[in-house]
Amino acid sequence: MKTPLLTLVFLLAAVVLPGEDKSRDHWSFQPVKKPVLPTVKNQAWVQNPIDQFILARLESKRINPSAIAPEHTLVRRLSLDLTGLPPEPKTLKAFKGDKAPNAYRKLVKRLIASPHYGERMAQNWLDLARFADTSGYAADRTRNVWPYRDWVIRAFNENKPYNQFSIEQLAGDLLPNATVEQKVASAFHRHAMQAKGNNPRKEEFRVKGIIDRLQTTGRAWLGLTLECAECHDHKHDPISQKEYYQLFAIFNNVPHLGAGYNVHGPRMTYTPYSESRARLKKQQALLQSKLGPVGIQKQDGLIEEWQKETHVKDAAKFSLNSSLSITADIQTKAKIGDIVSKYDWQAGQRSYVFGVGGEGDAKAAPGKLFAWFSSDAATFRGVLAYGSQVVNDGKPHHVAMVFNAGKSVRFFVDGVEDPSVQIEGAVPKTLAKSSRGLAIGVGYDRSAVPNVHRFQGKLSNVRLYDRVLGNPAGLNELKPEAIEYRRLSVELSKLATRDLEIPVMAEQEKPRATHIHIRGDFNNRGEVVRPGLPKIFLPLNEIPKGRQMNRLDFARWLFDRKNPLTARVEVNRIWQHHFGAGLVRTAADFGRHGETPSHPKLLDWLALYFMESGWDRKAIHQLIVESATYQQASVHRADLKLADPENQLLARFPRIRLPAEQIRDSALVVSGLLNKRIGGPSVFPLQPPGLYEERGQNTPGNSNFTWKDSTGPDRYRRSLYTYWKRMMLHPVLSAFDAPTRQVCIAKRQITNTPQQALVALNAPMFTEAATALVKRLVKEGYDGDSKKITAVFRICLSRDPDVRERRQCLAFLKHQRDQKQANEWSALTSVLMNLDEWLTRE
Amino acid sequence: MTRRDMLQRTSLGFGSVALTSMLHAENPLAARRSHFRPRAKRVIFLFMKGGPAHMDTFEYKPLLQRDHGKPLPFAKPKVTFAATGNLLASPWKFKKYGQCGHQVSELFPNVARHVDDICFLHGVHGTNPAHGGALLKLHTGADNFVRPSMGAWVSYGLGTENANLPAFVTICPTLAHGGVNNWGSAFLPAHYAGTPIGNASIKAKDAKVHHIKNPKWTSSQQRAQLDFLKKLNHDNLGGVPNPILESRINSFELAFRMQTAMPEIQDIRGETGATRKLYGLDNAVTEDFGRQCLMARRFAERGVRFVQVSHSDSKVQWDQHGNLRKGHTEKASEVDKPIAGLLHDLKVRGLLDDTLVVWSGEFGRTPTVQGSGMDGRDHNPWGFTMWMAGGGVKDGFRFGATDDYGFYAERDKMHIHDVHATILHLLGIDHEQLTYRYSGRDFRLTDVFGNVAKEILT
Repeated sequence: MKTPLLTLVFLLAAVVLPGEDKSRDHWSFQPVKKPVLPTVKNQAWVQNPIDQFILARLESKRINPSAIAPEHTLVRRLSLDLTGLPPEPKTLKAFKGDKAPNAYRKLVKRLIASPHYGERMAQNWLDLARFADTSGYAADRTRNVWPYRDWVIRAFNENKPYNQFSIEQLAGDLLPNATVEQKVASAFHRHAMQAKGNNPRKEEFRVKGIIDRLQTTGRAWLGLTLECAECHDHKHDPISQKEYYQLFAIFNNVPHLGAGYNVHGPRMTYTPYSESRARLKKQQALLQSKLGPVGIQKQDGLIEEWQKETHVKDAAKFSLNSSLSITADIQTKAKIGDIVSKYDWQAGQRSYVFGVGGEGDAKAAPGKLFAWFSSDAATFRGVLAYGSQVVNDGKPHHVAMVFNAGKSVRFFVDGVEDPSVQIEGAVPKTLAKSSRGLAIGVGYDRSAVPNVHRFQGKLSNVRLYDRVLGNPAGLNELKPEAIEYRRLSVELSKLATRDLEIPVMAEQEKPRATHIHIRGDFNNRGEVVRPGLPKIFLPLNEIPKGRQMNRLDFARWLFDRKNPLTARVEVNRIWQHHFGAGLVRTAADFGRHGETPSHPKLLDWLALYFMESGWDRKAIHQLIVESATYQQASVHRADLKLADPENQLLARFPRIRLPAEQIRDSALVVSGLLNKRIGGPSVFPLQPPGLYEERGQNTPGNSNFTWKDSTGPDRYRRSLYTYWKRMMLHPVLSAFDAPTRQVCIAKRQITNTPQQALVALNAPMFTEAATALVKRLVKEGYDGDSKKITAVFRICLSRDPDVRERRQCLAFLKHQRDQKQANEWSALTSVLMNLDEWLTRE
Repeated sequence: MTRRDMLQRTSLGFGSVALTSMLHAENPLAARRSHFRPRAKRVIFLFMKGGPAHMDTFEYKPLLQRDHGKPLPFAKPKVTFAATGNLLASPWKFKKYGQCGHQVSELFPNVARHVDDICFLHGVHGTNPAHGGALLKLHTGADNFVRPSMGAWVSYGLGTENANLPAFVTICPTLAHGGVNNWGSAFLPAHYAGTPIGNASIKAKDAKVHHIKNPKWTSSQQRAQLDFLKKLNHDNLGGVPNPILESRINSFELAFRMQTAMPEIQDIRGETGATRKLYGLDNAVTEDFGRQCLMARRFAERGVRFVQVSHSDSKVQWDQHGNLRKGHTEKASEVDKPIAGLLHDLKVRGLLDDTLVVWSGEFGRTPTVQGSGMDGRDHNPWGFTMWMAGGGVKDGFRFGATDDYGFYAERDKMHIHDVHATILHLLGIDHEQLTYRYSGRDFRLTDVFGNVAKEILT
């Protein structure tokens, strides 16, 4: 036994001498070693090696594992864990009916293959990536970076190996021949908050952005609190302040551009869905040849036809004042060009104009059709119409515009109507007279002679009709090809969005000099340091001589098989996803101040399996959910209360309060409101009015933002698509502990506050869902309280009510009716959506 | 059913001994013992958004009056928010008040009558010259990281004295310049975050806690829902106690009690005409802020630990880069009477003894002029005035000073961290002991700084 003095010296050494050999012996810095599978008595219980590790510990403590959970609990657990959505009653019915021995595995495989798997997994990753739709700090402006979010979802669904997944995010821009998508992935390290607006301390905030990169990298991949070494040597882990700034130097070469209020890093112009659009376009092109003749026939009401640029000098001619149609064959790559114009707005000579690109007007999309009509020549009184289809792709197109006076403006491309023409203003009943003569293939600008917005490319068969054409291209609309062609057009129009400027990473050609910041003060510069890794880690030997270590070298080093941390940290987080806590409970801190693993050998076994599988995350998920450990019941056991109060030994499955997104999404699923569309711009679900009305939140020059509640299906999208406003997160999300994502979060808090009860009972969104659920019951043909009660339990809780529950439901309904209260059924569904069983994954 | 019936029924329906004791065991907001004997049990923080000019309100500067139009005889800070010119004398006259003879400008004639209850801190200074950073510094102690707010630390440290109410409420807070972070809990558990009542762009009379009511259901229907919910939840306990489920049941009950308690506090119909007049509710200019102050008293007397009242509407209230005369006159006239009313009311009710009232902007303003109109002042975090009254601070006292003109804090300086340390001290908390382990480190409101200003303690 040690003498007290020796103990004291020992303790002092541990405290006073960080960075010395003692801390290097820490478990997480040791190589991952293949453990021997422990032997267990109860072999029959074991489903896979995970169970051997878990059971061996339980047997050593003479604790029995719990029985397998009931079927409905298992299906619910799997469904929520793997897709983030509760199961529909039919899924449960199918599972119960499947008597095959591998029924469970089939369900697992189906859920892992579901496109909603990627959505659920992305939710965790976006917390680490501190992904949000606003810049944070006081200005909190919109940043259009949702394509990064979609990249993450896709990467999970495609099961992109974790090494590739990580390297593309840390250094996608530096990969040889980097693709657009790899550059989008590099937005990961542009999610740090960015101060904008009235801030005189720009360099300080640039530096804070890099500190955030290190903190995030440390938590996400290394499980280390690197940030502790910003001001001094790390107090607990073997990382000196100098080493911290060597890491800092790796991330310090991103250009910082702009001046005044508009400071920012590199950006990339990104056309959303360009791949999907190209695919749909190709399908359309194939169909086009089968559509039959397009626009050959002349139709009744034709006034005139032109084959080239023309200026009709007589202004009285073609001075139409009511309905009209124009068709033309075009082929162009230009963004702007008029097809027919009798419109000179600058000179106050308005009547009608049709062409491409809206004469460069800010509201018009370049390369898409537009038309303007005014009933007053001097002042605009009429309608602006903008098409959604790109027509300047250099391919021949038949285009048509149909103006139905007082009613509508429609566009047709290759005979198919544009399904989402954007209309601004009222369609006039009459058209003004313009003193400008009709111009074909050219437009006006304050001059009697048309000489601007000239149509570049081929323009022919320009036909002017003085009536509404129903089928301007003379297309046989009953042909299946035409129907399919129209469907593709609708798809294409859904994918039509403006180009975005996405913040991405880039590397300065000449690296910035990095200094140690003495006491963390960015103004107090000490010694110059070169990029490098802390000594505790292996030296990097693959960097060619003559250049410094860069982000790509660093990202690749993370996945060096000798790196002891990366694999352990990720499998631990996957474990945490399923069991609520990791084998190491401090998911972001594997250092000496973090907790030690509850099952160190299991952690290593999983880490090794992960690396050997080629960093295959779906494989780890499958392994975990197929274990007997995972399939245990979650019921509290009296015998465990003392033996294992925190359930670290896992003799039962832990019950876990669902994350905020799953609580809202579940309400959308059971009420039948959920819109399952994946990806796209963020949406604005209903929230209490007045949250952003204050000046400073919605005026130009500050955050330039107003929350406009989404209408239509976008109101019911999954919660991960909610516009993530860092300084004012949607109240339903924040009430249930969704992080604001101002910084990297590896493990969410789970709190239980009265605000949650107020939200779940009273937020308009939940009331709406409770009402919709009652409608769903009616629609699905359930009548009578008793049948409805069974159905609503199956829908909400995946099980039948027991006798007592049924009696209580009936009593509640009767009480409500006796009290002459209205809406007794939605009062009941609202309660079901607040049950602990509903809020919890059991 | 009357409110009284409801309350009774609530307490009976929930009155089983087991559950009541559980409330304390499981309730993270249960009242906790302080580190040492507290001098104040609660804080009312009157926040003047935009930065009132100290040399125009509570710190008289004779040399500034004398040297109007002359250049500042020493250097201005390297980084300023905007450029300023020569010295600008205060357009307002100062007068001595009370036994202590403290000079107050004519902007605050009513508060001036309470100088003998007030402890002026003239040597306060911060770090950030922009609103966003300065607000965050004042409310959270950090302007470049996300940290828990002062009120959240207090509720973490002390819990609530009233089981029907949250420990930290913020009345009509501003959503700009840090917004929710100014009352957020950051890495502290969410229980400790401030509960906002309305926001700065909503009139105080319309301010409500979000989702406190459901228009679709009556109170008794909601009570019936909760009873039903409790029954179903209990059935699921399955015989073995499940503390998480128990605490969920408690949360729902607390929510329901809040549904009753909150509107009751906000319903000021029971206040006498004299009290309403005291707070200026009879006057359109003072009505809005007066109502906020009155609500603050009502929260304070019901045991809420930390009540913040923000003087801010849809503009950056006290931010007179120009139009100083008009702007400061207007702003002061909105708050002067209500603040004086609050001090008086707390005093006569005996609440001022253990309630600490704090008055402050996020910074002060420069003695040098901004703009060509000789009618504006820029932001000044380098020296400004804050004042405290009540629980544990010396009355009729002044501590610290800025230089002769009011630019820099000079004597007995108190950084924002020192202010935080002192407020915690008055509440019986050692600011170095109130820590929370996050990301491998123990965090404090005062980071690694903060000295208690012992000189101002009684």
